[in-house]
Amino acid sequence: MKKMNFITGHYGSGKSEFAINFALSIGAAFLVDLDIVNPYFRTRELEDLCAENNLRLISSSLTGALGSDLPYIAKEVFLPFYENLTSVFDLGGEAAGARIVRQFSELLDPQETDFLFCVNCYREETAAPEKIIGMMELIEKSGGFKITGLINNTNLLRETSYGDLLYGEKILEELERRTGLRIVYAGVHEKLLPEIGELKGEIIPLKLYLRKTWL
Amino acid sequence: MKKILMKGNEAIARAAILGGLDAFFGYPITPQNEIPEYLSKHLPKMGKVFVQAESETAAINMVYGAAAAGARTMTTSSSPGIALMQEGISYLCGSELPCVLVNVMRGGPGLGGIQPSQADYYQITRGGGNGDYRVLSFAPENLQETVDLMKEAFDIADFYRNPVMIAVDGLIGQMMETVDLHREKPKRELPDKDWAACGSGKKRLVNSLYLDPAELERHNFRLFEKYRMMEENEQRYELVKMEEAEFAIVAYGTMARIARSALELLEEAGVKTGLIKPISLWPFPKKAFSELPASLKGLLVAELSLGQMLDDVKIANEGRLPIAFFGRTGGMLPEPEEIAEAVLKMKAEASQ
Repeated sequence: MKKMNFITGHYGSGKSEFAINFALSIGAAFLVDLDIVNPYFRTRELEDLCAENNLRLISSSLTGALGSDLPYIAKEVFLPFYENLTSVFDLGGEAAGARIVRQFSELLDPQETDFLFCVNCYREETAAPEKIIGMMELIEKSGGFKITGLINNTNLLRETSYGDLLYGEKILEELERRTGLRIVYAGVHEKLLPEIGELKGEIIPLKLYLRKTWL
Repeated sequence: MKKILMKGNEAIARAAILGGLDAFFGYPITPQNEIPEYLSKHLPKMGKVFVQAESETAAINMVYGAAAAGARTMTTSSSPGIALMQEGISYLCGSELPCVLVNVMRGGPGLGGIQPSQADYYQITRGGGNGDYRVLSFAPENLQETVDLMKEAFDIADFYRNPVMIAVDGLIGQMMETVDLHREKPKRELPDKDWAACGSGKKRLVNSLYLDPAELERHNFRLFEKYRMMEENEQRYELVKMEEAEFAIVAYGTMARIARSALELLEEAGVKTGLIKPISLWPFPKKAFSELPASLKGLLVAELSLGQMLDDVKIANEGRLPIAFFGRTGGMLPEPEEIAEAVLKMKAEASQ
């Protein structure tokens, strides 16, 4: 695992849910919400959870303005680099959400940075290898970085089965062959953990923190 | 067909395409922007029309033009944007033009906020335009219901030659859920659009101006005969766990969804509670209230607004049962516990 972990991907791929679970499981010091694209279901809703877990949440929102859709970035987003502590960065969706990485270009040490592409193969725009490659290229061009690994986050929310994860893995294996990238992590809903067999990548157990229990 | 995972706004856009959308006109506003984003990507590739208008007022009048020419057309917006369209909606009804309107509601009044709300109930069911007119409106609760209604909406609009609105709150627009896009939709015999001004053949006039008051009155009577048919045939609702229920929650859209969890909590607490879920907002499903069990002792109306649907429940209830109200607004969503508590309070008051 690298010190700086950027999570990128298609919107609705489960980036934010993965990012919070990943940050908690690796004991990261910072979770940085750089999503200025999405108006709902953002990491910034998780202040209390982060505080309880000594995870410092840096949000792109103005204080107390959960309903803001202004593309505002807190100046604290640079703190993880100055303090040089393990951090997870939750990017907004697609090329528009990746562009923000350019402002960190001078601070990024390639040896210490991962750009992880989060994929849910049940999303229309990332259902086949060629579509995924197309989106990865747009994201890399927009953000000025190279993706370093894949996250198999294939899911149908609470209806997900082990078979669904394997379905995603098969598509991502084709992507591995074509791009030379590896499946580094697999996001698995915690309830599904007892039912799963082997999977490529380190398993990150997922709790759906952003989704209300009644939803 | 395998299920896929979609965001509400994407699902609305895809379902509109499956419903036969020919031409989209709209102006951006949060929290519905993924609809035009999706359509701008897909419609041009299919040889169909996507126009980002210069304002909501322009968009609704472009819809008027496309509908008058016989196209299947749609606009989407959120609360304050729909407010700007009210004049155009009145004209569409007056000229009997079919179209589909989508309102992904956010908090108000005024600019309000971008978080989910149902505070446009009056705007949707009473309208803000002039004259005696009605807009058929449906308020789905989840993405599958949204997709099914979207696909059907164009047929219903063509059938009655009237605008049909799909009203959801921002949460439904923004949330992810599994959907099957290819479920069968109910079949309707649709009349030919022999009234459409499509530029050739016999002269056809699409118009809402009547200089002779007697003729305008006849026009209104005819519209009302159509609205009466809608009231007869298009009331939609769902009754959940009503058998031997002591209390019933009346809620639609996201609030119905939260209420379903409240029903479970109330069952655990030993209070038999059902749910009356309106799906059509206008016509309001009055029929549901004539099917309620004799065991009922009261109704709790729950809204993401401060007592708008409450009026329609009072009308439909005809003074039979006591009615209590629970509402959150401004973009705040309640937890199921809050609704359950409101029912328990009602029960305590009823036994005093």
